[in-house]
Amino acid sequence: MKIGKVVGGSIDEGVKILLYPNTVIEDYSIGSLIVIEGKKHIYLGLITNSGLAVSQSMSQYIINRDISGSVKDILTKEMSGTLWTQWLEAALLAQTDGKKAYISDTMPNFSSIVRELSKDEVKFFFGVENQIDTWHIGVPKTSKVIDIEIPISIKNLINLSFGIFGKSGSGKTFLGNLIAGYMILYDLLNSSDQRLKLLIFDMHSEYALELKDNLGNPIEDGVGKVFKNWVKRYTPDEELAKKRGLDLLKINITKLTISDLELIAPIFGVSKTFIQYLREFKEIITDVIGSNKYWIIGILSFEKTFNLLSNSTEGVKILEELSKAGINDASSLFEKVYKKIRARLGSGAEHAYKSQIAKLSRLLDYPIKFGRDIIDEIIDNLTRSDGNHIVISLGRYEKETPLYMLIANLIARRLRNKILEKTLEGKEPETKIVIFLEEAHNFLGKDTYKISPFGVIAREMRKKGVILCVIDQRPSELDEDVISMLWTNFVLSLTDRRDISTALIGAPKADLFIKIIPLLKTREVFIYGQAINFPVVIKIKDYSKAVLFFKKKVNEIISKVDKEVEVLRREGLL
Amino acid sequence: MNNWMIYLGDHDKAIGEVAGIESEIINIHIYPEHFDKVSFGSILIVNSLNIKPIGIVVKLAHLSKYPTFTPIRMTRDEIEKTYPDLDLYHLFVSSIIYTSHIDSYNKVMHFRSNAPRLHDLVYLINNEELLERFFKPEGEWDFNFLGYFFNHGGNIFVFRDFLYRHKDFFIKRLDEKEKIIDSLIAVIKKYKVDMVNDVLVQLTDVLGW
Repeated sequence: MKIGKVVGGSIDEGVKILLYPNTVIEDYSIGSLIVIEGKKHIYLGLITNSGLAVSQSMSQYIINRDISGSVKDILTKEMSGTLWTQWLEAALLAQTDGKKAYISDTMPNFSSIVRELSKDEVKFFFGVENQIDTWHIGVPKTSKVIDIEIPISIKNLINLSFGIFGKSGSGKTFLGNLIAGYMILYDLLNSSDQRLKLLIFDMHSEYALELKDNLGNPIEDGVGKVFKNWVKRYTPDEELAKKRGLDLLKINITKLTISDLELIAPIFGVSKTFIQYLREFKEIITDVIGSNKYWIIGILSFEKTFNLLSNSTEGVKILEELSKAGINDASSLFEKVYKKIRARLGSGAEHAYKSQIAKLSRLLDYPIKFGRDIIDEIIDNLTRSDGNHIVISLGRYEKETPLYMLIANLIARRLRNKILEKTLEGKEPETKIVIFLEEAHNFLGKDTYKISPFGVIAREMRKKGVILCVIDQRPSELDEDVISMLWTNFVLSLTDRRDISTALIGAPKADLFIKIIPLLKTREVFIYGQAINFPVVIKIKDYSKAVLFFKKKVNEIISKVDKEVEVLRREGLL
Repeated sequence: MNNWMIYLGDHDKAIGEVAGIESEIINIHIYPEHFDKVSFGSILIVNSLNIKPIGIVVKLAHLSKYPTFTPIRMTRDEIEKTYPDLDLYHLFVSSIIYTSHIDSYNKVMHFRSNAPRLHDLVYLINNEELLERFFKPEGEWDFNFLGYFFNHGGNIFVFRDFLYRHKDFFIKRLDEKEKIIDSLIAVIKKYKVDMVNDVLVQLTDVLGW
C-alpha cells in the first residue's frame, strides 16, 4: 500500500516523508520498515520519527465550541492534508538496483513513492533461513504484521564478540537463550572441523533450568535443559544440585589470586589501602607459612577457616603444612602475619590488615573447598571437540555478585591458560568458545576491564577462538574498548541516554536510531552488525515456539544418531 | 423545454432587470412591487439571450431618483395612502456577485460566462426544484459558486443571510447533511481556507448542525 511521498532529507539525517491524507499515521510506529521507490533504486527505510504539522490558525475549529461535534467530525475527515500534514522520518538502511542489496549511498528522488514492504522484499533484503548458518530470530517490525521471519547468521555471529543490551525485563534472557539454542544447533548440524562450545554464566538459573516470568514462576525450559544431552550444568548451590541433578561446583579458595580479590574487594567494602598492600601482604604471608600455595589462608585467618580446613582431607593436609611452620590455629597465624606487616610495612599497613580482613570473611560463607575443584573438568569440556557446552547456574547465590565474579574469574583464567598452553605447544584450538557473560560490567567495566581475566579474553583471545557475548543492562558502565570489540549488537529497550548512546556506538548513522531504543516494547530488539544484513527492529520469536522447534530438532538428531549406531552395530563395527 | 425555460419564459415572474455591470458585480433594478421579495443572500438569475448568469445578492439599495431628499414625517401606511405613486420617484437597486450561469444546454455551471445585457430580465430562484438544480447541478452537491462569492466581496454576514434565506431548503435535506458539509468544506478549503472556521460556525448556528 502506498502511504506517502519523499519530500526532503539527506542520507545522513534520513528522509522526510509526507503521508497521504488518507494514510492513518497511527499505523506507522517508530522502528517499522518501509520501502521507497526511487527512480533507479528501491530503498529500505526504517521509521525513526513521526509527527503532525498543524496550522495554528486553521485548526482553531477543534476547540471552537460554536461548531458542533458532528460538523467537526466531518471537517476533520475532509481537511486532512490541508489543516495539517502528517509526516514520517526514516533512516535509509539499504538500496537495491534489483540485483543486489547494499548500504544506501544515494538519496531517493524527490516525490519518490513510499509504501509498505512485501514478504518478498523482506527475503530479498534480509535473506532466508537455511537452518545451518542462518536461523530465524523474529519478525521485522512493520505497520502490518508480515508473516515472515528474518534470519541472523550464527556463522558470522560467532566470529567476533557481540552484545545483548536491555534494561531489566526487556527480554535479554529470552534472546540469550534463543541465540544459545541456535548456536548449539549450529554446532550439531555443522560439519566444520572446529566445534563450537558455549560457556554460559547463568546468574538466575534461566539457561540451565527454566526461564521465569516477572513473578519468578517458571514458564519455559532454558537451553541447558532443552539440549541436556550436550550441555553440562554446574551450580555452587548444593541443594539445587541435588534436587535438579546439576553438578556441584565449589570454589577452590586457594586458587584465588590478587586480582580476584581486587575485583571483589570494593563490593565487600574493603579499603583501597588494603588493596594497595595486597601484594606485600601475600609476600609476608608466604614468608610466614613457608609456601605461596595457601597465602589466602593468611588473609582469612579466622577460626572458621581452620574449622573448615579440618573438615576435609585436603584441608587437613594444609593444616599439617601450616603446623610445620608453627601455625596451629587462626590466632597464631594472625599474630605472626600482622607483626611482620608492622615490622616491614609500618603501622598504616598493619591497621589496614587488621581492620579489613574481617570484611573478606564473607568468602567463607560461599561454597568453597581447599583442594582440586571441578573447574578443570569444565575447561576440558570446553576445549575438547567432543566436550559439552557448559552452563554455570548460581542457584540460591544469584544475588551474590562476588561469588559469581570469583567463579567466572577462576574459569576464565584457567581457560585462558589452557588455550595458551595449547598454542605454545603449537596445537590449533579444537573448539571455538562463546562465553555468555551476564552483568558483564562486573568484569568489563571501566575499573575492572584491565584486571579481569575477561578483559584479557576480550583483548587477546579472539584469534584463539574465544569470543564474548556481553550481556548487560548498563552498557555505559562497560569500558569503551569492550564496546568497540562488539561486532553485532542486540539492543533491547534502554532509557538512559548514555546507555543508548553506548549501545549504538557501532551502528551506522547511530544518531538516527537513538529515538527508537527507549520506545522498544518487551521482546522488540534493534539488531545491527555482522550477523544481520541491515539494521532492523525485530519482534523476537516467541521463545515457547522456539523451544518446540529446538525439541523437534533434538529428536531428529537423536534418532539420526540412533540409526547410525544401529547401522554400525549391524555391520559389526560396534 | 426544461423547467428553467418555463420559469424564465414567464415575464410576470421577473422581479427586475439588469441596470449595470461592473466586472463581477451585476446591478439590478428591482421592480418596486418585488423589492420585498429580494434579500441579502437571495439567488437571482438573468434571462440573457444565450447563457443565463446567476448570482447572489450582496447589496440592496433604495434611493431617490432625484438629487434631493425631502422628509415626510409619516408612517409607511400613511405615506402609501397619501402618495400612492411615490415608488415611481424611487430606485430599488440590488447588486449580485456573478458566480454561475446556465449554459446553452440548460445546465447550471458554477463558473462565469458572458456578461448580461442591460434590461435583461431578472428572476428570483426560490422554488425547491430550481434550487435543487442550482445546488446539485450534476446530481451531487456543488458549492463551487461560493469561491466567487467569498473572493469578490461576499462576506461571512452575507453568507449567514444566504443560509437563513435557504434554511428550509437545507433542513429538509437533513439526511444529506454529511454530503452537504463535505462538499461545502471542500470548496471553502479550495478557495478561502482561512474562512473554514467562520463558515462552520454559521452552519452550526443557523442550521443547528
